[in-house]
Amino acid sequence: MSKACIQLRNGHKSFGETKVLCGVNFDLNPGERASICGPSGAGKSTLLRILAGLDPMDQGDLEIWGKPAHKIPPWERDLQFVFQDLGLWPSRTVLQHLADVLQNQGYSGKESKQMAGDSLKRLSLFDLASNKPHQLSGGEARRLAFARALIQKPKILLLDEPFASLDSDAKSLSQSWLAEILQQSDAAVVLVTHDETETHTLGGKILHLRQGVLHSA
Amino acid sequence: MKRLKLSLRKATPWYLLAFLLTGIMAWLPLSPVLSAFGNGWVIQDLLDPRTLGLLGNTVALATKASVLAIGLGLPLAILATRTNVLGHHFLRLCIPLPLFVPPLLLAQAWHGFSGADSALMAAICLGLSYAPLPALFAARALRRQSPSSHQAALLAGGPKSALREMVRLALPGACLGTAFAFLFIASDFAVPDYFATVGEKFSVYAGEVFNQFRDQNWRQGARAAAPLLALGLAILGLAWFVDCKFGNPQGGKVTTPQRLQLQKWHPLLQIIFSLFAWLAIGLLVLIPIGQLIWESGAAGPLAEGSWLQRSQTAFADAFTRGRGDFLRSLQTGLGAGAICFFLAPMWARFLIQVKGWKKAFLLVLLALPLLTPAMGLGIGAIVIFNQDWLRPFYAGPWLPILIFAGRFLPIAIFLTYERMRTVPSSQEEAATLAGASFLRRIFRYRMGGEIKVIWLGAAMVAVFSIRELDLAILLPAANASVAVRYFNALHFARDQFVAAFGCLMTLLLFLPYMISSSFQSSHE
Repeated sequence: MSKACIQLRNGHKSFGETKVLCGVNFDLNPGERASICGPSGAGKSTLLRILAGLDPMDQGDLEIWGKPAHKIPPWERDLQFVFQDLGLWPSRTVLQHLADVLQNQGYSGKESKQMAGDSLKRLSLFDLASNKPHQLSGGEARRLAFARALIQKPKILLLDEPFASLDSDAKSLSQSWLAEILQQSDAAVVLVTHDETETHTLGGKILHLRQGVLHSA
Repeated sequence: MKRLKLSLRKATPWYLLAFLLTGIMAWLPLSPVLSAFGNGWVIQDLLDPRTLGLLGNTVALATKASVLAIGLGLPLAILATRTNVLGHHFLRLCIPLPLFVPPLLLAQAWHGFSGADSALMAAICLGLSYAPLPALFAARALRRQSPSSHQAALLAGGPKSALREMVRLALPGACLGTAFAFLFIASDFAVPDYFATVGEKFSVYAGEVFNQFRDQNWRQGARAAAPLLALGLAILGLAWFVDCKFGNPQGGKVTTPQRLQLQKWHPLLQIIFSLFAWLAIGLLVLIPIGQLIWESGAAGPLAEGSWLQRSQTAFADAFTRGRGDFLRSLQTGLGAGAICFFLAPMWARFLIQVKGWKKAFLLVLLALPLLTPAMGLGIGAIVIFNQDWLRPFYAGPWLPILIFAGRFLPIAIFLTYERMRTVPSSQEEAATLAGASFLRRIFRYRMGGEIKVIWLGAAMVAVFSIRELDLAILLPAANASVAVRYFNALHFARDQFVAAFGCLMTLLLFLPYMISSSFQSSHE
């Protein structure tokens, strides 16, 4: 039997006096899809950041690929994160966003540019290759953030409110685009959202985060 | 609606007052320098082989110094602002300090420490003096990186990728800071003059302007400053272009991401980078100040008593003999700061209102007093205000206050303008509809939550006015100041008094910054 990608037991996190996570248990297997729904301020983003290793937990056991998470720095967890505000690099063009991460993986400059270009063509972003993030629309910027995460072929993909701040048309377009892209990926995916309708984008299990505890839908 | 119109009308007299005061303080003294552009003298002068030779020396010296400034400033900014090097809070606090003391003081300390006295040493001293400029501009860009952008880089390629992204982000700002450093270095007279006096002779263009002043050729002196202004405008234009083309408009939340934990990357890295950062701060501040303190009690041939006794005597002597100069400098600095406290928000508000080429023109016009060599501005002030009917004003304390305020007003304006732009205009519009007066709208409602930045601008004007040497040498009414006293004492004799006087001056200039910074730290 393959190891779980993520295994969280009894996770606790507080900000000052405010308890955000109170004994959260969460498991994710390779290739599995999970959507976590909850109101604003429920601790959904905090949970994702803890899984990614970007924020520490106050208490609890987290294992990534069967190893204690504190022994694996974020960049060695084989995961990628699509941030709510996207976290694009303002000085880099669309093409450079993808080429840079490929170069980090050991591809040569020429190879990475070639592969980035091919990927942009597949994602219908090639026309924007030389644009910088501030020259993109909300939907285009979001697609770039997904593309940057996916081109690294992560085994785990964490999506933090991926459709927030989009109008309804752009949201439904982005949802169908993402669902199609994710069908071609074997990554385990966790999506958090405050909008219950968005949970259907992924399929898979749906959980609710209420008062710091995860409940099955 | 009637109320709104009345309120808007009330703004006009204040803008007119700001124009009038700035005209007297800054543009009028600049007019003799600017006239050299109007009648083509600048072109003639620039084609003169002697001028070209001197400008070549100046550019070479300023280039070496600027390379050192960015070479130290950029990595220091990254390490102190965004990594967990040991003592990063203290390092960050120390970065601006060299800017607060006259470069001549640092030159004296470095000459005493190393014994070196060449043109290269002048470049090194000036590079160390102005390294805070690229560092501060870079640090500003680094503090504004969105946390998610940093974390995305971290996840994409680890700390190396995150550091690379920081460099990319900080580089355009660091280049702009280096351009400003280049301008100040190219127009500095005192440091090259000091090293040329104590060691082998060499000439820079600023000396040419000073020679005209010494020979009382006022008009010629103002004209001589114009090529430096032209050079300054060209360099700054280039840097502005680079910043606009390659600068990084940040998206997302503008809050500083968590510091990069270097030991997680490699256990030794934190130590290695900490050593580099402390070495850099040592070069910028700790060694020169330590040298001055040591010199205050150093043993001369006829010395008596211990180091401590000699140092105490030197400090007591410096305090007694320099008290009057300290008070006058303080008075000038506070006066200039107060004027800028009042004017900067008005100019900032006006800049927000104007658009397009008018805004670009106004920005250049407002920046001119800072871009012009201080000596050019000083000679211009002499040409304009040294009139019989203006004698009491020319010899009185108000002339230095106004000219210093005019010279450093751009710092206060640009600081305030940048912050005011981020405040939603609706805050002021609501106050307008509620019938608030123009001043109240700006100071209480628009900048109410950001009033610290107006104080900061005014404090910087005060500090720079106290440290300003070139202008103070030129203006007779500003001669009785700490900077000139120090300049004269240093050229007369290099003794314990000079070192102690330099230390007291440093303390006077550092103190406001240290107090305000410690208050800020306690609030963080």
